[in-house]
Amino acid sequence: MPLLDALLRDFRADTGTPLAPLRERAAANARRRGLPTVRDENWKYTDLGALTLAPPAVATTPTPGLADIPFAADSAARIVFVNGHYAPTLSALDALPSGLRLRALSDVLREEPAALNSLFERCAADDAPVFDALNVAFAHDGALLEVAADCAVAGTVVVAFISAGAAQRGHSAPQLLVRLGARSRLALLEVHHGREGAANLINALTDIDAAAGSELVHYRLADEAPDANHIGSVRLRAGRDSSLTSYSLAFGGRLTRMEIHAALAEPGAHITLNGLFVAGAGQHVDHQTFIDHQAPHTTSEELYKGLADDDGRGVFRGKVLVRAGAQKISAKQASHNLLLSATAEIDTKPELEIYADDVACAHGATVGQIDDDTVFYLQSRGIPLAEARALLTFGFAQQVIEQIAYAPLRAWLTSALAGRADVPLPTLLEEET
Amino acid sequence: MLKIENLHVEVEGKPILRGIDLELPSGQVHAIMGPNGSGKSTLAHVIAGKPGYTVTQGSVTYNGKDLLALEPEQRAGEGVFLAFQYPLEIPGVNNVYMLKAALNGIRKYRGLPEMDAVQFLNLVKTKTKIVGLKESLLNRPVNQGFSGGEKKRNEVFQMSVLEPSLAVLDETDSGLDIDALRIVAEGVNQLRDPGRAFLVVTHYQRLLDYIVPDVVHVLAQGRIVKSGPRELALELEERGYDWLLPAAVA
Repeated sequence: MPLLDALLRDFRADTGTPLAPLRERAAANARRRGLPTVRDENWKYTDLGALTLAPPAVATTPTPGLADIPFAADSAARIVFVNGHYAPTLSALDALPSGLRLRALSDVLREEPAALNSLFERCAADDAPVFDALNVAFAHDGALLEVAADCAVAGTVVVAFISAGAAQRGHSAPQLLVRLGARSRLALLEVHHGREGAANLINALTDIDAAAGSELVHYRLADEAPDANHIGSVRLRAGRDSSLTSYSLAFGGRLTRMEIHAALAEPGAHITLNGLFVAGAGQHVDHQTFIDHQAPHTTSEELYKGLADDDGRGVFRGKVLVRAGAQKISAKQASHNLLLSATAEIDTKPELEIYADDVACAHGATVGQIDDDTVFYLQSRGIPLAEARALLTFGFAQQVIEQIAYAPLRAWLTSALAGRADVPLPTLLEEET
Repeated sequence: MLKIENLHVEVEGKPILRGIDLELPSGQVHAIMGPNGSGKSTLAHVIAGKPGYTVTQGSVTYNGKDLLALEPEQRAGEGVFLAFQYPLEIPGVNNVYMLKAALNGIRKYRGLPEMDAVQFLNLVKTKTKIVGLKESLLNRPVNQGFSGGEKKRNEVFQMSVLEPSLAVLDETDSGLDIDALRIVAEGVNQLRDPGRAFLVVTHYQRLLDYIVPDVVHVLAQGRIVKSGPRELALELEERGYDWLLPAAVA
């Protein structure tokens, strides 16, 4: 059965609940429009045609415990979802810093559904992306994170979506809503982690609204199970003088698609989008970013790094739009990619669309291989060939990793890269002081 | 002892070295001088094992071992070190990480246990002082953003940590002003030792004012056309290379 039919077969509108009409409309839109195909510019390199929804997984994996939740030990505030459902016993919401409100959407849907109305309306609109529509049609849980004005949240808040083998069905549609009050500050790690035999389609939606003067660091790590497919959409709205930094990190899964739409809606807003992905054997990783300079005096920076090994396939498409009247814009974009085998492939496509004249934009894109002369330099120092290549691969990724302030995530990424290499890299795992 | 016999080397079918014979005993410093294109750097690269060169005849042995049969990292394990004319920049790879991987690679080759972090850091600190490398460069990516002088000093620093028994210096003086040259040369001189041999490849004799060689060899058109004491370098400075070229001799 085609993927969309299989998905919609399970659709239940929850008739009688306030959001049911919007769910109905979103599902109808998705049915009417169909899934994107490679004829859509946004999906040119990612073919969903072969994607099917496997029957529900058999519950072979035990229910995850705290030890199975990445970063659980390093998070003061934490909300965890297992197979799309809030898991109170794995979450840590008792001692939230003042000014931080963190709730499960299943509770919000029951108690205060109006809070979700505008998001559902937007995603149920006729022209909304199909996966956004599918997300709201099926979304029944996730996190709503609100930071009060002038509140600086200490530490890094972790929102973890765990897919385990006990999935009731092969599909989940989690949501993460972030509402930053004026001049508030937050560091947030959104992690999607799949365990062997986990749900085979995760269609996640993250919606972030950053009010004037707020600051956000958003780490988004997709590390799905080997057979899982992850489609993640991040919608950001940056208000006046706000500053958002985003890290899109893709490691696991068979297909990982990460899409970011960032609207620089008011003057003074700044956004940094960084990304790092590894596409190994049988993996396909597609990053799409769209930076929309709607207001004058807005700035953006972007650095994406991609690694592909074996027959891994990577895609980066970065669009920057400067709207008419949006003067005094600075936009920098770089996409650098490293192919580690002859059969790996990465396609990178920067796009600038500029309708204003007082604009400084720069972009650069490269796809290359490990430099032989540099390998020889390391070998001549006594470093064996395989280790020299691993060291250079690590060095390539390091330029993104070293910018990450949250040390447990740096360590996770470093060991994930070392795990990918054929040789142990113990010397790399220490942090020099 | 490094022993090179009748070494012929081609690059993409073009002969570059055409019968080199050279013996470099432990504890000595030999200079290789010669005009541009004479094959000096090729000789240095072939000793270190850089890919892209085809040895068509002859041999290179070090302490009785056939160097040409070894991978570059194995040659490093045997005690060979090449100081690059153009040290490479490696973004994202910390200078000290790299050096630790190198030292432990060599120790592993020799069947020695890895050096622990504390020992290693002490070693690095000591050597940094000896060669006068700025400590701030230690935790920077290898050679990235280093000045020309800092890159060459970093080469000498790596050499002092790895303690090779055969150091090949490929035009270490190129691109250095006289002060930087003196500092780099002092670093090299501090490493002079009865158990260590140096092969100093240079175009100009000025480096040899600071690193005084035991023997000077003149390489021209792929052959050693003359060998002599250090005074030969001074003569070359005065008379140039033309009088030694095979065409002029003939």
